[in-house]
Amino acid sequence: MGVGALHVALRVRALRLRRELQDAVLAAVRTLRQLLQTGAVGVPAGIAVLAERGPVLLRTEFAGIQAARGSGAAWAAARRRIGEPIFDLLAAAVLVQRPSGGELSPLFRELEESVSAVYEVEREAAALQVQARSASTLILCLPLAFLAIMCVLRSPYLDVYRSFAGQAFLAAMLAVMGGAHLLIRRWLLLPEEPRLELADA
Amino acid sequence: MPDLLQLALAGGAGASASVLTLGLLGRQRRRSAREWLDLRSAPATRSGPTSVFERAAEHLAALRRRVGAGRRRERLLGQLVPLLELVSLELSGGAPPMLALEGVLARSRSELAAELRLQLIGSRVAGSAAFDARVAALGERLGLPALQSLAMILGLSRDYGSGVGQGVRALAADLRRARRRRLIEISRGALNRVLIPAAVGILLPFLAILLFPAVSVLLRSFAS
Repeated sequence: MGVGALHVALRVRALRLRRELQDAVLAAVRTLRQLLQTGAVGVPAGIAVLAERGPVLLRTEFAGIQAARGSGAAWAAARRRIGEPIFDLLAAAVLVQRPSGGELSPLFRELEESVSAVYEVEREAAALQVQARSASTLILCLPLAFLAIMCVLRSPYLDVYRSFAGQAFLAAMLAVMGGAHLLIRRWLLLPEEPRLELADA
Repeated sequence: MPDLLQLALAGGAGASASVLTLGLLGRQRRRSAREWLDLRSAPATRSGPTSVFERAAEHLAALRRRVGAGRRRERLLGQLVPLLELVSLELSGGAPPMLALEGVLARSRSELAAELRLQLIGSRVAGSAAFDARVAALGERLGLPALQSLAMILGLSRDYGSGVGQGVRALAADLRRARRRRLIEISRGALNRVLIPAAVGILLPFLAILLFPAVSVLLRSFAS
């Protein structure tokens, strides 16, 4: 029970941190787009602004990139640490734009709109998945609780489970229930957005 | 024999390995004494699966191939979106379409980029089909209509000089919207994904646990 509670707590914390990171990346994209739209600031200056006044979670990353003068290795290291597909795209866009030119702000605007819409749906879906997972756990726990109560009350009805055949049958049925529960949890996983793999990583 | 196209689409060794293993298991059924002793019986030339086991194995392998192919298709579709966005960025810098695509493919290490790179190299061989035709064929082979749309955009640009940037950007936006729709679809179906397996996999075993003592008493009373 203790291990389970710890696992749940760690999962919840990891999920919260991931969402904060997603929001921070989106905010960084938005800020960079706004800065580029003014026309007075280029990408390196935009990165410097993000390092100074950008989302708190990403300031150190942008400061590192700025210190390395926006080198591919610095972006690759930041991408590895952050691990968000949108940050991958931000890095790739900046690296692609540098030699060839190109307008980053329309790309960032579309990215911002579509990704914020996807995040909204993803979070709604995640909430529904949590409900479904809870329902599944409840459905599994109710019969087990019923059996436990019967055992505590020493009901003679369950005496047959003291024999070897009874115990084997009980173990098989509990295994089927556990397997079904794990299968349900697996089916409820949401598809993850694939990471962008770049040659400089 | 398994459909080789689907097997290739599934992309992993897992599917082919399962086909071979299950096929071998299916063939290793024991021959009856009559079959061993019957010298008149000619060796059978089997065209398809005969035993129930072999048929089940083939169905299972086909199911695994379908699941694997579906997963790979989703993975490749997910990889296509950022590629298109980067291509549109290169195009906005004034690069010609093929050069933009080449530049992005050279930077990307994804599975789809590798497939597209192969098509790009293949299209440069004298006498081979044009890149857009090869991409269209790849889209058909992988079951990715988005690749066929990309091929159409490139083909129209080559033949009529239409702009590629807008089309590519619209395609990327469409794919992101499709991902959103898919997520909505999955989230709406979450309860069904719980209820039906729970009814079969949890409640039925529980009923069996509840009824087992009663049934065993009944059986004992019938026996005595």
